[in-house]
Amino acid sequence: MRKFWIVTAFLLLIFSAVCAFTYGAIEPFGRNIIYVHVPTAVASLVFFAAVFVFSILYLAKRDLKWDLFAARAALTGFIFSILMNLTGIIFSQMEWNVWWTPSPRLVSSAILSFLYLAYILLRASAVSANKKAKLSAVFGIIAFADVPVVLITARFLPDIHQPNFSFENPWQHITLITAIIGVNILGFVFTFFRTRVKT
Amino acid sequence: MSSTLNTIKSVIKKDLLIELRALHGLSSIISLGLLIAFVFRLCCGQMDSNYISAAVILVSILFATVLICERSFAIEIENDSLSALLMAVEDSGDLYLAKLIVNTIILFVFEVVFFPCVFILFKLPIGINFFELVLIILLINVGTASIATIFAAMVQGANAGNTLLSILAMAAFLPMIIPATESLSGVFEGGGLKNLAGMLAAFDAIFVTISWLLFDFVVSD
Repeated sequence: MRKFWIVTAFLLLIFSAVCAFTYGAIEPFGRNIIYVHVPTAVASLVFFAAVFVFSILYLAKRDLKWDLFAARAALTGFIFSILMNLTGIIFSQMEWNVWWTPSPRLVSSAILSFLYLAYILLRASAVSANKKAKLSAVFGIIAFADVPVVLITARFLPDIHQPNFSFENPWQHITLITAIIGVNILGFVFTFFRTRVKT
Repeated sequence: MSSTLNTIKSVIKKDLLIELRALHGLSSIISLGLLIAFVFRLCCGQMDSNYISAAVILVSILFATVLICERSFAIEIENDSLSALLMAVEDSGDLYLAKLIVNTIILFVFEVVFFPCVFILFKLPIGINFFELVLIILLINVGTASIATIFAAMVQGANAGNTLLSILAMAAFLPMIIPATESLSGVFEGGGLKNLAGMLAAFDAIFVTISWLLFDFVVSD
């Protein structure tokens, strides 16, 4: 099962990469970075939501399996959020000639990364496994409650980020959607199949 | 309902008495707040701006909140008073509400001393609407204290708990920074509350409710 999902993810990502260099290529060439930036942004939000769901499941059922999944989802989401910020910085420099500026989406994504980081640090500091699981679950829920607040408050900042990227042909849509699905499946594999659950 | 109110009143009375007798928490946060304001004043040179003043006030409040909330649970660790408190209260959520109110009151006392100094140091206009200022400060206090109180209970007994509390609380405060700074600078400029005060109120409502609901999981074994 694990191999199937890994192969599927890599096939989708390879297909997306090939499209990004051929039919789905965006001019100028540097703009193709959105095929990494947007999928990692979507995946980081998906896995942040997963941490929230697993945290609630842990508190409801007190099964350490859910805590392990939450921990793995947080790590996966953190890696994706770092990738999102790095590609965002490069894209921002190319498009607007500025590395970082306090605009709504940039601030929101930076705050998300900090919340993931705090979650990971909390897990590293707790003393016993049960306490670690309980406290992490509480933080996972509170941190997710921050997300809508972040998205709303960030709108008060001046924005340089375009709301929608305009594509010129359907291949560009296909490339982006394939990359989003591929990246999310890859994250799904990291979250569920790297965890050895003892029942 | 009456037992809940009695519990909350008793814990508030106990904590305020402890604070008033020793004044350890208040004296340290007032000193820290004044030092932060002074450092900012020196760093800014001759530059005066309502936005900088709002930032200084917010940074001082955030640090003060972390210190106060950390102390509010640290005093319960000695002789395992927290376990006794939890046995005494009917619902652990009551204890959270009591601690939240105590921390908000102490923060407010800190601000009564801190604000005149900031007004002098940053040449803030005296003719501002003080009702609006008090309202915004109250909303900021409740929001920051609601998060820091539950995190302070969480980090008790953890490795490097104080450092961890600062990291967790600061990360969770981040969404509040934008509306808080904007509304504070708006009050200083005489621009009114705008709709940012409503956002702060929504933030407070969300985090007080979530923290109150989750507090039982934090303190139960």
